[in-house]
Amino acid sequence: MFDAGTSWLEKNAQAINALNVFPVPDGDTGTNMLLTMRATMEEAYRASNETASSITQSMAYGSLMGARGNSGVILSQIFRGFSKSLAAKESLFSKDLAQALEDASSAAYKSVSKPVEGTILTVVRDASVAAKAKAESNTSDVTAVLEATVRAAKVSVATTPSLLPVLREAGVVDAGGQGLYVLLEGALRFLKGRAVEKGIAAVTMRSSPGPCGKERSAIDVKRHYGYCTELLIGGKNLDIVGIREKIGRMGDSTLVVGDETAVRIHVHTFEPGPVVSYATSLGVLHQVKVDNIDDQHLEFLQVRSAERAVDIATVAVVHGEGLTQIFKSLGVTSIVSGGQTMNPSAEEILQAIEGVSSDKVVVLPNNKNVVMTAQQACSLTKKEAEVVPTHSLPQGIAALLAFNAEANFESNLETMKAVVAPTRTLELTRAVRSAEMGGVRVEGGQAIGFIDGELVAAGERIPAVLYELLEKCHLKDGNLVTLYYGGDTEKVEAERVAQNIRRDFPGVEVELVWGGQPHYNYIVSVE
Amino acid sequence: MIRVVTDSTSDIPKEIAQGLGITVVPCNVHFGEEVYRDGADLTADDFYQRLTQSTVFPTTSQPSAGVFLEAYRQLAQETDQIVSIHISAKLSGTINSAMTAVQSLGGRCRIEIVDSAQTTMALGLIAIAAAEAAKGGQTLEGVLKTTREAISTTRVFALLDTLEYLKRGGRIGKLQAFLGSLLNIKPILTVKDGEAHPMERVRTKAKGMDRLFALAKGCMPANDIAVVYSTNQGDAEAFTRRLGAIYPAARIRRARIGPVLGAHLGPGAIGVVVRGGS
Repeated sequence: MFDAGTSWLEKNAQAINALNVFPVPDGDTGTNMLLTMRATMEEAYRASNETASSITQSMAYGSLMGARGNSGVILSQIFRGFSKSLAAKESLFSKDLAQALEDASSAAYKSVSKPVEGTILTVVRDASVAAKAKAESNTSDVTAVLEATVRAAKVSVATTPSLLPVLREAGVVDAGGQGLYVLLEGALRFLKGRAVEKGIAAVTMRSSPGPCGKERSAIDVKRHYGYCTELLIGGKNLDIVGIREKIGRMGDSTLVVGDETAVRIHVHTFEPGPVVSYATSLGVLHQVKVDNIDDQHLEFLQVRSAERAVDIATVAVVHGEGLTQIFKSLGVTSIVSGGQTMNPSAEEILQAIEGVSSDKVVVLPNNKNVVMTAQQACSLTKKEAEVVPTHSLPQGIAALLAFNAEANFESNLETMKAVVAPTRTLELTRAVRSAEMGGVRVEGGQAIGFIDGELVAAGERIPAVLYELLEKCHLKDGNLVTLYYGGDTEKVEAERVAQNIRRDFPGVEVELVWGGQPHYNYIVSVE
Repeated sequence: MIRVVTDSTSDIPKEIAQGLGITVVPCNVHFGEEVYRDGADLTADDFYQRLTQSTVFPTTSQPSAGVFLEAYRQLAQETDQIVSIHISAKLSGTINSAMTAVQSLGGRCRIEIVDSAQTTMALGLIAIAAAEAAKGGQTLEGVLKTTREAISTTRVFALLDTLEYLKRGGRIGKLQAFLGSLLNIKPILTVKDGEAHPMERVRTKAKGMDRLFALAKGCMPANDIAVVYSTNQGDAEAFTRRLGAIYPAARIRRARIGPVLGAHLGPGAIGVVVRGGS
């Protein structure tokens, strides 16, 4: 049922991605939720037995580990509440479903320090209220309860713009809420016997009045191991949807993300050869990695012993080749690749935490949308791990610089947290669609500029918008402006921009470094 | 009266040394074949000008045993007890020269040599504490006890404008960790167990000064404080005022980092020394 939900989510992921409030290439909520659900379902098939309790507990664990992005983290908390509610249940009756949804809703609310209405939270609550009402109205029909749930979720999603001004301004509904609705709708379609594609419909469940869950033995779980194949294709006009379809047929655990100029592929397959040849036909390959999955664990242990022992380790989530090198040069212990367009999962961060030789770990998420995932990862390790909630790569660099290998864990956390806030981050990219935000009108394709995550300027040329941002920063003598250039920015242009800033803001220090980050022409720090 | 001897890396201002009767033995600075005695033949201003403009990179050397011998002989005419406190043996061979001198001196003057495990005004404040104890009429044991206490309670933090001069001078040691950065950084160093240790890195002077201030504040309570600088007197004055606000009762001395350390720390360096205590 949830597998069907996941498949339905997969079909709709791109549409959900398009619901970004910000017209920037980031926050792929649909992708994040889909990847979280994939991890959830993979774990569900590993459940020790087929009781509702066992399966939902496995799902809760899978979602916890696989959570990506804030929406993924909240989704994992929904599953946690759901599974707790069913802890002693062998099967799932309509009243159990309603109660589990209610518990899921309250778990989700509790997981967020400041719950915001008009988000996935509102949707899960409205849905659970409807489920409860239906279940109490004397029906034992699970399908009827789920129907009511889905209907309420749909209405709830539609109301999100009226609850959350940023949505209203952007003219979209909440992406996380939409994702949850799609997930539930997929589950309902399955119960009603409608196809949701992707052929895993081998699951059979009695919808009513009897218990579900008992029949799961009918599932034939195909689990591929073989080779974990990862690569990055650089090119022009890459057709990501086509690539995703093709790669999807070549193996499993597939992950295809990116845009027209760069696509990252991750697939588990018995035959890596065809994947590589196919990718070669599309563009230039980078970072090709083929690992024997069974060997990976051994290799991991070897790498770990080779690493130099440190008292306190640092783990940073970093995007872009140049920025990765910068973080390494500043002595970061371990890097989790990801960020703006590819949020890492809690498990990936957890692996990095577990992988370093130290028992004390500071985690730098370097992206607003990764902070919760990082916190989740920290809660999953036995090590003493803490997040310094950096919202941008420059903030991460500032925190890493403040790290003192000779000081203790607590004083390091304090020092690192203190330097984060005074570091301002400017980001420049091109709008992926038209929008109006905070009084700034943006046309699709226009250059747009953010200061600390707020859209403040738009225009035709990137350098001009950058200048507008710098002026809004009220630069003072002694300020340091560091330009990390990436995206499709040419070095010559970046050098010219740096020179102009030096000329027009005398007394301000300017440093130009290649960051190699995707999509963002410039990430700028002002200190 | 017991007399105190130190070396020129202590950066003790001349008037303070004279007032307390501290003898300062000069280390040497070399520009190619030219040799200058720190503080005697070369002023700080001249030195820093040459450091930044000359194509010849200066090197430094410890005073010879002969220079120490001369200094001890002269003092032996006035006293029979000397406490000679010097730069960390891990940073310089100065203390070896002093020991060689003591061995060849003979005579009835007793000379105690102490490794301060410090340098710059951290060494300076330790020597000052020892000289004040001596002036107060303490016995040799009393002065040595005061010296040891001062050593255990004195801390130094310095913000460098650049790593360039340390790199050129080759005195990197544990500071290796700060090299190879792809960004320009300003390191904050301390001296721990007699060695220069990397602490933090910042990217702007303002942030570095804030961190120095926080580090100094963390050393409360303080008996004696010094602010040292290589070329940036204005920064040192402003920083002194800032410290004055949190240490209203403490003496805050200001001293110039002399040529010997200056050759390694470079222009734009600023540091704070705090001698703690009860």
